Amino acid sequence: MHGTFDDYTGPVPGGSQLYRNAINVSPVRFPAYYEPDKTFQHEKHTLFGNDEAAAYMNPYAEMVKGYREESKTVILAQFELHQDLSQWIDGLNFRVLGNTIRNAAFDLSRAYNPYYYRPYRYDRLTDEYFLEELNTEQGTEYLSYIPGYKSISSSFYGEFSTAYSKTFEQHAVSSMLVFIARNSLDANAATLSASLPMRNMGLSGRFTYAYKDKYLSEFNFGYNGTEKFDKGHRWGFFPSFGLGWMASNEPFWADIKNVISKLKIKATYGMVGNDQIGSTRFFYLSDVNITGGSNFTTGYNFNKTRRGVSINNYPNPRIGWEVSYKSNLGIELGLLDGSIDIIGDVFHERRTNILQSRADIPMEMGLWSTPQANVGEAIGSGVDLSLDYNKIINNNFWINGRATFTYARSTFKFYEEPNYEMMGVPWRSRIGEPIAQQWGYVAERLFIDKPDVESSARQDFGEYGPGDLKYKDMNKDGVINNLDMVPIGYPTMPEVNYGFGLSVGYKNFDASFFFQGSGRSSFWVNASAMSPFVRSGRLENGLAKFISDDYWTETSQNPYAGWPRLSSYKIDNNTQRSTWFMQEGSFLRLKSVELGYSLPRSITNSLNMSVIRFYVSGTNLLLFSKFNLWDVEMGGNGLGYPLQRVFNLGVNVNF
Amino acid sequence: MKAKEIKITVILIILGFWRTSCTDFLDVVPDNVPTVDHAFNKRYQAEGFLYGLYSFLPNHANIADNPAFFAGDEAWLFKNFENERYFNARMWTIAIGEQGTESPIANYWASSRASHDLNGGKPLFTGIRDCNIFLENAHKPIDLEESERVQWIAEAKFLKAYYHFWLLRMYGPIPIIKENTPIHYDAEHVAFYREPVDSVFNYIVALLDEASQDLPLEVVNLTENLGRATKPIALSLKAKALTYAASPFFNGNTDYADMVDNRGINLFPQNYESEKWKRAAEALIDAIEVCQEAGHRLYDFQNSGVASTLNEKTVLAMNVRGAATELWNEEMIWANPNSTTVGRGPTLQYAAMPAFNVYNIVFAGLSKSYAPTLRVVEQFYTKNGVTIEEDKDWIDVSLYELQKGDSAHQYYIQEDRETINLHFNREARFYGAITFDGSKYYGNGKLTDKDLWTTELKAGTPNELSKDYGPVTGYLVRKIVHRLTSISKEASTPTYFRYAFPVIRLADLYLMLAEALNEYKETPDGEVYEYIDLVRNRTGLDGVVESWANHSIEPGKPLSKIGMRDIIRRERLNELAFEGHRFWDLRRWKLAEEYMSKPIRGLSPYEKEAEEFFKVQILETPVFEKKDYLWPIRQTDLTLNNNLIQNPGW
Repeated sequence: MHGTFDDYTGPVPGGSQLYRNAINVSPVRFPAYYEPDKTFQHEKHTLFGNDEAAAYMNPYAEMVKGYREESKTVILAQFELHQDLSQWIDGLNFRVLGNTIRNAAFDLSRAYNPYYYRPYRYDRLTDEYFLEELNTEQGTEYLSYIPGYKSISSSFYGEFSTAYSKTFEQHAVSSMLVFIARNSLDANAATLSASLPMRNMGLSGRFTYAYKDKYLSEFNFGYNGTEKFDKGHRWGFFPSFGLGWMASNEPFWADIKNVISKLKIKATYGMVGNDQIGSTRFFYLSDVNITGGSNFTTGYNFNKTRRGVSINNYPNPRIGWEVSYKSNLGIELGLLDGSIDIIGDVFHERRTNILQSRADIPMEMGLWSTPQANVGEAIGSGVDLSLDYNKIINNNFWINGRATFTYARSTFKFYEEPNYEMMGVPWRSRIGEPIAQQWGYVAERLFIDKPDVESSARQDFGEYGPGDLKYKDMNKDGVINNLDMVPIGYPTMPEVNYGFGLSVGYKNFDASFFFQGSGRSSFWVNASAMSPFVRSGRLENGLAKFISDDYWTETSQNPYAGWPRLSSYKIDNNTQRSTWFMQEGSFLRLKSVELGYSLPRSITNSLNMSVIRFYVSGTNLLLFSKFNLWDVEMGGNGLGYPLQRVFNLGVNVNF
Repeated sequence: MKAKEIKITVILIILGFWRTSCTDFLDVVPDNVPTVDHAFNKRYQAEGFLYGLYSFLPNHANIADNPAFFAGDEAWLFKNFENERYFNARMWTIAIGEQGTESPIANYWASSRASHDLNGGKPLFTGIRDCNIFLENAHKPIDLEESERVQWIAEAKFLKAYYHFWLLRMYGPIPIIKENTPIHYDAEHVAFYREPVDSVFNYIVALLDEASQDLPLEVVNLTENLGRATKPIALSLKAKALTYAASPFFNGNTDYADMVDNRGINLFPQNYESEKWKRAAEALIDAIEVCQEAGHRLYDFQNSGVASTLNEKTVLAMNVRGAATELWNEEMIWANPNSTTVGRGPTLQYAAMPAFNVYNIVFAGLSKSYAPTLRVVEQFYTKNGVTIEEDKDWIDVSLYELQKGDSAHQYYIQEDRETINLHFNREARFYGAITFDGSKYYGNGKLTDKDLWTTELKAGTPNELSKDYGPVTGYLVRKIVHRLTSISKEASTPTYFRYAFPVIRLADLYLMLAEALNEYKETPDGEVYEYIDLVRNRTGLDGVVESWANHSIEPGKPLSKIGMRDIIRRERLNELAFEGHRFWDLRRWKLAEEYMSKPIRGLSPYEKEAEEFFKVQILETPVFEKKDYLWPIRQTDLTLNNNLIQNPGW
């Protein structure tokens, strides 16, 4: 039985939201609060600042206006039964397992509605300002109750497995059969479809056979069913098999054994199924909301209102499992008497039956939702390497090291899309491009002046003029629209991931560090979120220094300024995905460093403890990356809550 | 013992699992999940579906959804206005040239699956598809009486015709969706073609002919069903469609000689046919007859109870204002009750109601931003019933010179208030449509006209132009504000009087008939004058021939076809100003490029003093190209269907 309980009492917005509020508010528009003036000197509440008709966010008011309570509970109850059946069949045992997890979370706030003020007159002679109250009708001095979210879910998991393993002289066999059933339910579903439980059922098995510990073979299968698909496509059979050769156990290896202590070569091939596809619950069902359409009112006094029907899903019984065929070739190498262990894998994967929206249904069909089909195909391949070093030099000195490296690349082999070749824009096609590849415009420079704008191709994103981004007309039709989007940059998912670290212990001291890095990815500076002064709801985007240092102005008219023309509203022309805001996402980070000292045995034993260890550690200490405006892993929005560098000081006690 | 116990436990557990492991475990969907068929089981649900068909009607009274208010030259906004949260200026951005193919503003060529990309439009193709679904299933409800079923089928046909008409007016040639294409059809069969303009008009007229046979003459249950389709509405729409088909833009428009799709078919008719005007005139006469049979007449404020206490001048000014705003008055043939005219948001009254007190700030009370351009202010007639340019009395008058309000104009202009010559001696429609600085306002809680409110628009007044909102030209529109809407002294929200916005009213039909007859005949005759004079007389003006003979520098203008064409067009622009007609009329007359390329002018609203405030300034000179006559089809939609061609120039 296991439970996790989380309680929060604190300001209504919460830490990272408060930070975001503070950054995305104009620092000069109004102060956090005003000292009372003559008119309001008897008011009991704080005079918070605001502008217009209380249209802006005042982060200080948000922080002190009330408090929020949140409670999260996760309870897991599990029942497990092991039974060794060696009495009847040697090597056979079975296990029964059942667990249920209940999640419940809710929050609520109690806050007053702050009164906001603004000075409407300032008397220079007497140095007095006169305030006016902006939201007389909405402000309150008493707390209101604001209910928050309520989220409840429950799930059940049951497993029944039997395993058998036995070694007869040179032959080792083992087998396992597992039967599982899973059920999960969400209490706050919005529609009938979403309220139905999600269920999986499956039978998997594994059989292995090893001869003389040198030749290994394995066969697995999975027969899985899910509630998502139509009866005819509900179940999928996914077998796989593998072969291995433990070369280092061969008789001819004995001489080299002290140099290369282990050499194993293995190959596997199999099928895996995926049912977590799409956001629609049941593709084979018609999902209609009889009162989900827009309403219409008639009548002399607008008395009668009725609504129509909306259709969320058109039935398609042919949707089924997404299947991927994976093959893998691997090598395991042990060197220096087992202190170095190297594992390398080369893998190749072909995904089929990927769910995609039909690309040839035009708007004129008048459908409520886009039908989908299992037509996509993708190919992936890559390399996975890891190296472990373990050495105990003597009683006092040990070293542990680990390094990993992965390179993976997946591209689409078939994608449901219009015939771009025929339209003269073959670069729009996703076939052959990585799955996370992004398309965008090639930004040439900023427009210099009005004649420049007029002599260039027409850009169809709304308002634009001197100081705005000029894009390249790829298909030379005189118009810049989505036909001119080309694949730009690396995919947003990095193709290379690596990490390495070392731990060292000498006598009672220990030290370790760990680096983590990734490469071959791109991300885009989020121009929408970072365009300064633009209003979004009650916030105004903050001004980042790199923008204020280098932006286009009418006097400089620099076509290569860092940031295009500033404005107080969002300019859609400049927030399109393009090469202008593209950045390299590769980085190497010193993720953690730890130094520790354990008190000698003699002292700990006298205190009846087994281990007392003091340590100091830090996370996120150094970052090396081409992009240096903000932490690369924050992504495109530099105005969010930053990643933190943490230093810890602590003590471990075991007794 | 132990072994036996274990054995039994094992078997029981296996059995337990087996029970739950039936395939039924994965069968979670209950049997009666709602499907489209459930909407046609009984009358009540089918009526809901019918109302769903109506819900696709464009929001005629919504400033952010109907391009006709701000996308032309009738009213103007300003750039930073886009910061205003309650009143989206996206339609106005079309007027300043920001329309594009990526994410077109007012995208009506859409279906509900692209609901995030409508930008003020509505998914009309889903509306048409749903109409077809209704027509296919209307026989199903078991408790639906035959007479009602027949009427509902006619209503669905009417709506289908209207959606085709709206698309045709905006985009030109469109695909005709006669029946629904099943979803599982392959790519070839769902690639619709755009049909030639004449085919679409003929299809619309045929549908309306069918529908009008079964629609009732009047709505029977007024409390519940006012706003639903009737026979006068169907015939009026048919007449309007035929008038459009005969108009210069759709009739022999050689600018579109190259608009040929990949079948080689020319989508715009290249030969002018005057017979189309005859067809239109016949349909108009038919429609007017049926409307009159149903009890429709021109509205006269004199007939309202309160008019007996008012001066004749106030009554005259209220005539056209009442025709547009009086709730379900006898002149309104078709009004849209669903598109609300009240409330904080892109509604007409929120945007146009003038404020009388500094407390009425925008986010709580009023936007005061529906500002007509000087062109429309100058367009209204003089009190002699002729245009300012042609009036003999106005030859030497300097329009923007200051003059003080006199007792003759006491019901229109504040006495002794300095205002410009342009505001004196104008027709009643001018005073009923325009709010200017120093004008007397009938309404805002006052039913008598003894002591009317005076509207102020200069800087420092309640209707001043501020950085986010306000009248950018120094004028406000009054015509579409109901006389009973009011905002009291310290209130921060007004009390609105809601009315159903007119889509078609009788004066519209009269003027279209005068136009059609004039175009078809060689020279205008009594029949032409009869209909235009009906409209003029209602607003206190003399007939066309008389007015021109007595007051114009071109007294013979009404006697020629070309002169009369000009007069009828001007009469139409004056009568239907600010009701969402000018935008489409200028386009169908092929006059949009001429009008939209001239500078947009206004007064100087940032000034405090009269001499500075009434100075004319140019706000913008828009650029209108031939491509701007039609809307662009969204580029993504052209990619999805290779048989569609984009409108020329986009």
